[in-house]
Parts: sequence; structure tokens; C-alpha cells
Amino acid sequence: MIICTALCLALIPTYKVNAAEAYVTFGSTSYTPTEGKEFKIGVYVKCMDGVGASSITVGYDPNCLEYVGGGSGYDRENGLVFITDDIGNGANSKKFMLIFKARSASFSEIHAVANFVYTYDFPDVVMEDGTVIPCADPVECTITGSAVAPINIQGVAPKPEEKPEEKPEEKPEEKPEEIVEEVVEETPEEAETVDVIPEDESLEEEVPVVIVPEEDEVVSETVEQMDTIEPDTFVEANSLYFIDGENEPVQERTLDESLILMMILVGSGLALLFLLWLSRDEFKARKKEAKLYVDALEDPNYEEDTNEEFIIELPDELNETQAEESLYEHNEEYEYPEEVLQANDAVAYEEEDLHIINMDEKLPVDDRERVISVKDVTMEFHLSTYNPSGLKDYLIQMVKRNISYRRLYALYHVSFDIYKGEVVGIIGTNGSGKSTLLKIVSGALRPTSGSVTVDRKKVQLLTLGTGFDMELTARENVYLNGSIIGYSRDFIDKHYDDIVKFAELEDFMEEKVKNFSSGMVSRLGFAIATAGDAAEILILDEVLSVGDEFFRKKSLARIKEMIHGGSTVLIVSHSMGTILENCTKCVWIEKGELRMVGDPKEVCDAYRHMEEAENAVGA
Amino acid sequence: MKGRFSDILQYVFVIRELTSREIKRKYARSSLGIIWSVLNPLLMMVVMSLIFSTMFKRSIENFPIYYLTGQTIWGLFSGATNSAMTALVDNKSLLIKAKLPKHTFILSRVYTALVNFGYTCIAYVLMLFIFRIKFTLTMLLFPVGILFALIFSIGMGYLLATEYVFFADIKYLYGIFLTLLMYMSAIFYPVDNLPEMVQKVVNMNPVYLQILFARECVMYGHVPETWVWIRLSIWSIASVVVGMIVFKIQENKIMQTI
Repeated sequence: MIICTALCLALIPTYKVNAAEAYVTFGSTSYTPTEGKEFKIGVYVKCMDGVGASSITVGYDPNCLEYVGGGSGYDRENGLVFITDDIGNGANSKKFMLIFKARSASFSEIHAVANFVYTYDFPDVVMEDGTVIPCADPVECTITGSAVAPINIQGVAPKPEEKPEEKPEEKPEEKPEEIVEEVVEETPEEAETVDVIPEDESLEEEVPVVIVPEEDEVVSETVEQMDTIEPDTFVEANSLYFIDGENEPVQERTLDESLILMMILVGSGLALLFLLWLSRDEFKARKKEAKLYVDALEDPNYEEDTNEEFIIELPDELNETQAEESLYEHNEEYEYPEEVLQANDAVAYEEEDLHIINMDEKLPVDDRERVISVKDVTMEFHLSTYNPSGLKDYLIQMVKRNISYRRLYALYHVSFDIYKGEVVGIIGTNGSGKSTLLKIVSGALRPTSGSVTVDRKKVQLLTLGTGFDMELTARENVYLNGSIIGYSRDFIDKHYDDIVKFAELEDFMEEKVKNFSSGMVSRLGFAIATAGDAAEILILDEVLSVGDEFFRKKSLARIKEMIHGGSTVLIVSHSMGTILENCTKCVWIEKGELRMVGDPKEVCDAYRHMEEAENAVGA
Repeated sequence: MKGRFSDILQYVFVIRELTSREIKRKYARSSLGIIWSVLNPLLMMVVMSLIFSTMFKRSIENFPIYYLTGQTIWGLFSGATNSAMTALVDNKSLLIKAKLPKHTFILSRVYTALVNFGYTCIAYVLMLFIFRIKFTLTMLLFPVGILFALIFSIGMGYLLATEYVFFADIKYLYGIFLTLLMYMSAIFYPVDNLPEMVQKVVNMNPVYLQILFARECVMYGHVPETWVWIRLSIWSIASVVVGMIVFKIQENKIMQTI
């Protein structure tokens, strides 16, 4: 059995009242080397105030171990290795590595004897070329913690016949009660005697050792003199069966700390379980709700109910014509019988009796308040003609100057004016710059050149399904969206019920929006954007052509209401029906250029012609 | 004047709505929700303490608090900058609608991180009691340290959010940079053990300085040294100024690109 026992001893000089603690410990409390192999033992000098000059002598059993290297001096006969370091590093610990070779399978003790550690604050003690620089003050030495720090660990293959003179069996009987006398150092001028009293097994007490300077207050120490220390006393002082390598106070603190840590871990674990258990009930309840909601959706009665509401709210005549109209719209988008269109117009004119309806371009401009003025707006985008596949590629191409940009005019010198109370339809094929125009008008984009005069505070942009957070409930979304588009909290509080009622989502406001159908989402979006009479300029981007037709009628009614109230509306739509039916003016933009502004009917006709012509060419 | 005031009210309202959105969203699918903001740092502290406290026993007194102080401030910084980075791109659709200045979205992300930090502080204060850290007057300086961290994060947020619009890869680059910065922030190890050169570099790290500031005034009861104050101020101001300038210059281009 190889048992290497580590024995640590620390002598710490203290400066005046400074209770500097210093330790010498080994990297591990035991080593189990393989026979004939070299192994390393870490010797650590630790001092809270920073390690200064230090001197350590390590004793070992020369019968079992062979010193290989790592120290600054050795005495193989007596089994001593000397480590001297006269600078230190000022850090909390300094490490020295000793290399030993295991001679035979046996046990041995390694112990540190006669250690001197100076705190870094003592520049006086640092040796220079072997000369002794005296320390100005008397030095007190204290042993803190346990002077003896051994441990036993079972090693590899036990070979009883090769046991050295020290037998492990004997050790436990020998209680380390001996008093060790140690001459720490002797200099010609002065000498200090240190009485080291290794504690008993309990390891509980710190043993203070006082070095009494014999002559005067000045103590000087040289590292070389450390050789005089007799290690034998320490060999006897060790005990195999001391179990702890740490000194007591440190151990107590860690114990305390890890106890708290464990308690926190267990505590939060319990809290976690409890909360999970609580939330499971909540979760169940939520699921139930969701189920109810699905039922409601699938329930045909529910649908019918809402339909009736619609019908009640809308004037009969309007309802009929619009229902008819939307039927056409569903079947054949662009081919309305002339009569229907005319009837539509007539109905609209009679029903709404809007003062703006008959206003056209021929009226003197001064009569009306200009709310939006788009002047010579050009929007230019840079599109790179080459798409690099990554940064590396990009850099290579940049170096090669392969990257060029293509200019794309999303809008090219577009100008028109919109007057208060107008309902303006904007048409054009996909990618012709309609959305860009809306973004510029609403202030989200700045044009490359030209100017747009509009009071941006009054503009309300409504696009489909944007800005809703699917993970939030409808109520939260109302507040979030409302705040973004500029409603104050008070305003939303006041109009909340109206919004819900208009969107017909009374029963679903606490539901997450991700469970909504797209129609429900757009209803809510429309309801928020048109809440109260907040919007003076309303921009609708493809909003009116979605949702069920009942809601569409309702929203048209709302828009007409707003026009009554003096709002100006911009509608972007691909549905000619919507444009023809609602607008008083139409703007046609094609490939960034303004094609036509004027009466909706004329513009729509022209637009349809172009499309037909293109289709013909395509065919 | 009144209009201005209501503008500011609206501003605050929007930031709060956005923030409550972020928080609800973050924990939308978890059953414990916001409690994770308290539990997470606590559990991290336990884990890190179990691993490292013996290693640095001699040099760090009260390792759990040492770590937790670093971790909470690190969490504030990394949370704020990481989420602010994607603020503009994530809120694309709202950005077009909003009449507010666009940086509201970035600010709301930083504010979200601050709210999260507030919850983490519950855990922190609790631990201060459990580990019997004595109350000192210098603890009142802790919010000042947080303010430094916040201002610095805002500046970084502006910069990152702007760059992220044009160069999405920055997300991954920043992830690596954050890792580097974290190990340079001495969150769980003592600085004294580092080589002198590395110590100098670490002492320049703004996040480390923020952590140092907090540790000094909470754990050790010192008023942080003057050089810490100076460096922190320089970092914070520089980051905000650079961030704002970059953002302003690119503002219109951001809208075009998004």
C-alpha cells in the first residue's frame, strides 16, 4: 500500500498588528504514484496579503521516494528539498512544482517543514544578491489553522514485504501529541526559536507561535540559512489518520456556503414544482376556454347571429345593392354590367348625399382645402445586380469591383394633390409603386427627391394584418397597436368598447390573436384604425377587399361616415369594384410613373384597357 | 408646450406597451413566466458557485454574491444589446405605421432588459440578505452603476440595430464578441490572478468596469475609484454619441431597406 501523507506547516510573520494569514499546502492531500514513475507534487504558498519572499523545506522519505527536480536545492540523504523564492508574486498564492519518483511500492510522507512566508508588503525582506536586508520591525509569527494537514489515501498494489521502516499500522496509535521544537533560523546576529505545537486530532484550535527575537527588534532572514532546519522532528509529528487537508476556518465557511447553496437549490426546486402544479390548473382552464372558442366558431348559429346584426345595422337598400355587387365581384372581377355600375353610383349618390361626390377637377382649386400635396416625388432604390452569397464572397467581389447597383425608380416624378374630403383610389399593377407612395405619404419613407406636404400626425395607415402580435391577446393588441398609431391611453380606454363592438369580437378579446382567423384579425385592425374620429387622413392598403362581405359593407359604411366627418381617404385596391363604388377620384400609377388622375370610371376603364391589351399581346 | 408634454406621455405609453408585449411574448409559452427572471440567475448562481467557489476560495470572498453581481449586470448588458439589435427588423410592420421616432423600438427593448433586471434584482437583494452582506451607504451608488450600464447599452443598441438592418450576419459575429467580452468581464474569476497585460485589457472593458463598480459599492462598501468613474463616463457617452450618429445617418436608408 502506498500511502503518501502530506503534512503542512505554515509560519507566518505578521507585521505589527497585521494578522496576515499564510499557508503552505500541497496540491492534493495524497498521491498514489506508480512504482518507478515520476510524478509531480504541487506546493502552494498562500497568503491573503500577497505572497512575498518564501522559503519552504519539504521533507520526504528517501527510501520510498527519489527527488528528481523542481526545488532550488536538495539534500537527498536526509530526504529534504528546499524551495526558496525571494521575490514572491504579490498574488494570493504561488505554486511550486516538485518532481519525485516513486522508488518502491510503499508509503511515504511528504511534509513541509520550516516555512517562511513574507507578505508582499515587506519589501525590506527581499534579498538582493544574497545580502541581508533587515526588517525594521519585530516579526511575529503565527500559525494559523492546523499545522498538520495530512491525509491518507489507498494506493495501488500493496506490497507488504517492501514496507519501509515506518509501518502504517503503528501510526494511528501514535497520537501526535509531541511538541515540536524547531529552530527556524539562525543568523550570526540574531536567532529565532519557534515553538511549533501541532494540534491534537481534533484540529480545532489555531496554535499561535511566537518568535521571540533574541537580540533586538530587527530580524533578518536569509533563505540560505533554511538549510539548518532539522526535518526529523516533523516526520515524527505527522499522523496518518488525520483526515482533513484544509484548515478549519476555511472548511467551516465552505460548509456554510454550500449548505446555503444547496438550500437555495432545493428551495427553488420546490417552488418550481409548486408553481408548475399551480399553473397546470390554469393551463387546463385555458385549454377549456380555447375549446369553447373553437366550438363557437364552428357553431352555425353563431354565424347567423352575427349576420343578423349586420343586416339590422345597414340600410336595406344599400345592403341589397352591395350584396349584389359583391356577387359580381366574386365571379368576374372586371366585367360589370353597365347598369349595375350606374345603379351603384346612383345609390351611393342618393344614399350618402355627400358634398364631395360631385366635386371634380373642374372646380376651382381654391375652394377646397388641400390636405395632401405630392410634388414631383421620385423614389430611387439601389438594387445590387449581384447578390453575394456571403461576406467572403462580398469582399472578393468588392475587391474585383464586380458589385454594381441598378437604379430602380419606384416612383418617378409623381405629382398630384388630394383635397379634404376626397376619397382617392390608387390603382396599378403589382410592383408599380403604390405601397411606396403610401409609405411616403404616411411619412415612413423620405422621397429621394420631390416633396410631400401632409400633416403626418393626422395620417392613419391601415394595412392588412400587420402589427399584430400573434402571441398576445386581442385586448393587448388593441392597446399595443393603438399606442403605435398614436392613440393615448385615455383615448383607447374610452373607445375600447366601440372597437370591440365594431370588430364583433366581444367574446374573444382575452383570446390570443394567433387563434383568430385572418378575417377576425383584419376586422380588429380596421376597428382600431378607424376608432373614434381620430383619423383625418385614412390610408387603406388593400383592406376593403377582405373579410366577409357583411363586414366589408360595415367598414364601407364606417368610411363613408368618416368622410362625412371630413376625413380624407386613400384606398389602394386591386378591386375595381371597390374603387368605382367608393372613390371620387382615382390615381393610376404604372411602373413608378403617374399614368392618370381623374374620374374613377375613366381611369378604371383605361386601366382595364391596358390590361386587356397586355393580355392580348401575352396570348 | 402642452403638445410636447402629451407627446412625451405618448412616448412613454408606447414604450411601456412595447415592453409589456416583449415580456409577455418572451414567456408566452412557459408556465412560470416572469418568475424565470428571478429563478434563472439564482439557479445559475448555485451552479457556478458549486463549480467555482472551491477553486477561487482563497481569493474571492463570498463567491455567490461575487458571481451574482457580475451575472446580473452582464445579463442587463447582453440582454439589452442582443434584443435591441433586432428591434428594427422585428418590428418592421409597426415601424411603417408608427408616427413616433423610430428609435422608440430600440429604447423599448433596452427598457425591457431593464425590467427584467428589476426582477433579477429581487433575487439579488434576497441573496444579499441570505449571505449577510452588511448594508452600507455606498450601496446607494448601485443605481448609478446601473445607469452607466444602461446608457452604454442604449448606445450599443442603436449601433447594432442599425447595422443589423444592413448586415444580418452581425448577429452571429456579435454572439462571438459577447462570449469574448463575457470572459473578459471577470464574472466568475478574480482579476488579480490574471497576467498584468490581460489585467490592463480587462480594466478597459466597459462591462467589467460596470461590474467592478457594483461590486465595490455593494460587496466591499467602497466608493469606486476615480479612474473607474472616468472610464465609465467616457464609455457611456462615447457609445451613445456614436450610436445616435450612426442611427441618424442611416435612418432613411433603414426604412428603404426594411
